[in-house]
Amino acid sequence: MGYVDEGFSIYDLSLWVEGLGVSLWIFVVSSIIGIFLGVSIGLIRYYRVPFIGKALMVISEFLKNSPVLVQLFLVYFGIPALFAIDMTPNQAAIITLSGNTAAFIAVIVISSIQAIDKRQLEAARSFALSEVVILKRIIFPQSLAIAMPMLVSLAINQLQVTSLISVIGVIDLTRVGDIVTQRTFEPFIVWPIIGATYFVLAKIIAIVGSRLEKKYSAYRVTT
Amino acid sequence: MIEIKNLHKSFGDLEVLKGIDLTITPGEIVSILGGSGSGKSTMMRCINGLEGLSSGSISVDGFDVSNKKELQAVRKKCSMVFQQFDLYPHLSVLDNITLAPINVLGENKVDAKERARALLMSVELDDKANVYPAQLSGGQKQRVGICRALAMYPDYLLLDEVTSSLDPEMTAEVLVILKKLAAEGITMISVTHEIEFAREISNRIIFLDEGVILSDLPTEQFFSKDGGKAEPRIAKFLSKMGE
Repeated sequence: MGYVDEGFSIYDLSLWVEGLGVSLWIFVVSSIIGIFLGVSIGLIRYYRVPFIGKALMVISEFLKNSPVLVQLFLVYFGIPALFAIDMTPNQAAIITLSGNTAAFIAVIVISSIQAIDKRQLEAARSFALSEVVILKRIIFPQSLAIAMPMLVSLAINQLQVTSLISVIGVIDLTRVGDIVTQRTFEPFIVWPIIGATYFVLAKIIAIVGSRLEKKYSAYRVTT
Repeated sequence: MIEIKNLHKSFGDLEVLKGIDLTITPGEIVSILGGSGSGKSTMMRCINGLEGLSSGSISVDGFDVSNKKELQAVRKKCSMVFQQFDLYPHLSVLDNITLAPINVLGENKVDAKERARALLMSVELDDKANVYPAQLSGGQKQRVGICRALAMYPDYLLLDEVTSSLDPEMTAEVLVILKKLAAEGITMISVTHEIEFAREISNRIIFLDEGVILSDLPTEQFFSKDGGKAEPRIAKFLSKMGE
């Protein structure tokens, strides 16, 4: 009866806000965990820690080269079955996206460390600087500058990837689009709005990213 | 005192140093000459542990470079200046100079900076304290490289072909500074292709050929006809270099 085609209501706006919040929350949390894990994996690999380095690399190769949707199913259905534990869709989403992000971050970390001129590291060692100081004061700031463009495009990509989590029932922005469409039968209004929301978020990341990039790369500018 | 005993160094099958024996005492200004591939730079790099030794030993004031803990003591005593400058590109000139004094010697930031400024003043770069290396000319970079080395209060200054990547004008500006340092009495070991410079500042010249020391003579004797030049390999080298 009257429940179909009632048009948009203020309720849809609150749904949109809620979905946006969930998408952002999962994106931010999985990015933070992913950066932490990815940097750790990258460093373990860079310093050639035996065995663990190799093992982590095999895992991250799998995460980089298989569909995120498949990983999501493996986590959401596989982990509870294997370990007999309960898992909410949000938990599964955060675990999956964190691991996936970490795999890409690890590669970025390694390649941007390798891009640093090795001779200055030798110079630093010749002055008796410790490996910790070299990592903190020389390797880290320079590899961050090198990695920045890659990190920005990874972040934009991972933001879009969050839309996949709607499949396992997370009420994210995409799922909200789905819900509102089903109620209003207005896909040509709903989906452009949802799409534009992702677009604006991605643009914000790009703008902030390019500012940071400029800031960290200031030293490369010759007069 | 730097003592090198029967030093051998190989890279894979290639033996670059074939038994070097050398003692350098404080106050000496030693220049190491020799053709490319003679092992000069490798020997320098062995002295502060940038290359491991294949066999033999090196000690600096009693500290053994092959011992991991003692190596840090060696490195505090020997500061190196590099052919390609190898400054830290992301740090300002001032931070390049103060990084090791603050983090290795534990100097406080204010003192370290003050000293760095004084060093920059002595090489006429006090106006460049806050720029990045990318904004400097080669000669300026190398002068910063020298300040960075001096900031560690080294007992020995190791100079590894420090003017080889500079044009003649910039070479001159770096050599002026090194001459000044030599006159101040710092112990200096310098691998160089600047024969005139070596002749002018050093009191001892070591000629390396294919991984062995061919001659080790006081400077005057090295350049005299019945001294170093009596050795055909050295005479040929010097005549090629325009001596």
